[in-house]
Amino acid sequence: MRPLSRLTLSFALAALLSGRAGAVAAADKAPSLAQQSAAAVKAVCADLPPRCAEFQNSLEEIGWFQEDAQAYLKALPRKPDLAGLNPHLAESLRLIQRTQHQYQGVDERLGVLALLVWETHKALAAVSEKWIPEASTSLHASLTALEDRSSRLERASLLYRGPEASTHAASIRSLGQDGIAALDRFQEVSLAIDYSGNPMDDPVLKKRKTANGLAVRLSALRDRLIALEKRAGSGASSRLDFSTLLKPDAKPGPGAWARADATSVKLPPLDAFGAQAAAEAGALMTSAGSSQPLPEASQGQAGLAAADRRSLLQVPKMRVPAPKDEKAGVPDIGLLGRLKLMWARRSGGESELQALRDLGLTRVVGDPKGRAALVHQQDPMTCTIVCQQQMLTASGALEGKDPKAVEHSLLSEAFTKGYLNVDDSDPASLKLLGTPFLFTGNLLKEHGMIVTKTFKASNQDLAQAAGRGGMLLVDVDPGVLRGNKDLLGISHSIVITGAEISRGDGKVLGYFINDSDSVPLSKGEFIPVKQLLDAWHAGNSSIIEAR
Amino acid sequence: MKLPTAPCLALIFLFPAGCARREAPLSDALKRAVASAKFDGPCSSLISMEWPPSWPVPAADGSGRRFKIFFYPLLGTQPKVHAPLGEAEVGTDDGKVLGCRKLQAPLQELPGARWPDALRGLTVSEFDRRADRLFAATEAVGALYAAKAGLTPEQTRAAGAYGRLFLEMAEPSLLPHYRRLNPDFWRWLAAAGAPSIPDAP
Repeated sequence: MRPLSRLTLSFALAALLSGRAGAVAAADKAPSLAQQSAAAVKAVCADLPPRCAEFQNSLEEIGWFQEDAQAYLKALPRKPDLAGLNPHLAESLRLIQRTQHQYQGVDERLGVLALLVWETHKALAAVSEKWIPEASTSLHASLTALEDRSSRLERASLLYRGPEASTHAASIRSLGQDGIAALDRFQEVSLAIDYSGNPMDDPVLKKRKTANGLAVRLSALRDRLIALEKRAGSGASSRLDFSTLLKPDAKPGPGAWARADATSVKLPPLDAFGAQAAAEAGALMTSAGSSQPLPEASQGQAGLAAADRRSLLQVPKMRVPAPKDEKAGVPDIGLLGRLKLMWARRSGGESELQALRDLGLTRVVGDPKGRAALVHQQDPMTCTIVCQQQMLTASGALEGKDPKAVEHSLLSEAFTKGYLNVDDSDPASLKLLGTPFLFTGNLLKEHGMIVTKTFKASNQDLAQAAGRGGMLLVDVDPGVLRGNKDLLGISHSIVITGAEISRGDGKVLGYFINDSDSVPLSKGEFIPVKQLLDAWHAGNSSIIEAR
Repeated sequence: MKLPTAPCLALIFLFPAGCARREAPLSDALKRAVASAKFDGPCSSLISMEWPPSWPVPAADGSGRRFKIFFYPLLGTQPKVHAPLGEAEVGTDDGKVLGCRKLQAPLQELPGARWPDALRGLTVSEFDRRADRLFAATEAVGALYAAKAGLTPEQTRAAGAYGRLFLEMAEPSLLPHYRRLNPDFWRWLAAAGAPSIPDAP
């Protein structure tokens, strides 16, 4: 079954349902939907012989799908089995989209095919609706047990010496394997939520919030396990070493905490994505070009616990706002300083920011300087891909040295998995047309990262997320961000690489971003807080965070 | 109700003519619905984030609270307008997408700049203010169109103001696509004596 995930309920389909469902229900002795579908294809084939094979293929595929799905529903397991259910849901959504296109683009009579799939999809979705909370509760309980085991091992790790140490290492390893199983279950819940309806509806937002809570606990558990391994002398020095150790046979894909070499993915030729556009973009590349090695970890600004962008291990856990901690470290600026600050505040805006900086009253979280080297000039419509590329490279999940080649490889991977819109009218020269919102961040998941998606987030949510020191994928309106009305209405993905915070009250003064579509290339660019928030809220106020 | 601002209350006796009245806030239900459409419901998996939405056009359902939009790609550093690749219907009752679909069409670049020449000198905030007025006018004219009744002189003026503002703000190369969203609406607007999008020759 193809992994393509498409959540598609068009108004045409809705109209079809409201219009036809009643009629279908009313006529008890009417032919079944399957019979109607076969008759519709036969009739359309008679009128449109050149496209007959296409419709017959659809009908056949729907038949296979129905057979598989009905068999699954008949022998439904008692316990939640999202791993078994999700592929059926994904397939039903893919078929709905395809039949809907045939209905809208070719012949109204084919609408009954969509109705046929929709009937089974509804039955599958009802099961998913019941299972997601059950699976979340069960995962919650498992995590509690794992956290408890982890605590016991942490205490014991101080005592074990000599031969006992090997028993201890085995216990850690066993815990790690259970952690991997928990991650797999989390990925299933997360995927089921993606399939479960309108991402902006409150019930779905609520489910996602619960899942995000589980993700945070899962990543904390992983960090504790890595620390335990290090203490036990297993030599794990990064997330990847850890996961490779635990799951040596892991392959890239959902649920794998594994090394994924992007360059090894077998995909359509790069030329298909527009060699000319790539060459033009390549000509614009700056210092992050192909000859540059991957950046070394840097210390960031003085006095900071800089985040190592190569490893999630060292991302500092910082809190924002944190007035008590902040005030403890505020330098005494004296009378002159206070006067300067007062004067600057009267002028407002940049003067105030500059005065705060001059007086040492700001600090930076994250690693904007170090992460600046992760960005390169993107091809047209690949902003989301390049953002994910930066986050994957920072985590050590990607190894390619030529950023352009890695971008194209990820692009091809996203295309194969159905995460992109592509103009395929000329198969020899596919044209990339961008990424739908629901698929943003999916490449991070595919490469084994624990991803949280927060939609309709608040300013405080963003400040807190940035305060954790990791990289954030957010969408902004570039028209608002750059003050260019020709770009208004576009949603453009950028990476927030850090934030500058007032030491006095913990307020965020601005964010540092990597913007792969700006000319000149924006690398660790500082954007004042209001400007960024305006552009962010003009988009969808979402935050995608990977751990 | 329009009220004078607080400082004006104090000064009104001294400079009665100098106090501007605060404008009543415009309804932003339609603006919010259009802005969030590509993240909502079925559009979230169909419409690329990079495609901006068009201005809304009243739908033909007769409620006055449903509007149609399309989405079109903008490509290049000096963004070039391309023919629409997606379409949606939004409602102002709850700001939700009521339906969405991708259009099966090849990528097609359209001539000309994105916005009419008359908007060239505007800043983003000036442009936004005009856009707010257009959204509010669209909601108002949508109600008139749905009512299918004869227009009072004031309503005729409102329809005329909407038509002028729309043509001032709409992407010139996309006008035929705006017409296609609901040809009946544009015919109604023309019949009301307001500036409208003419039928294709």
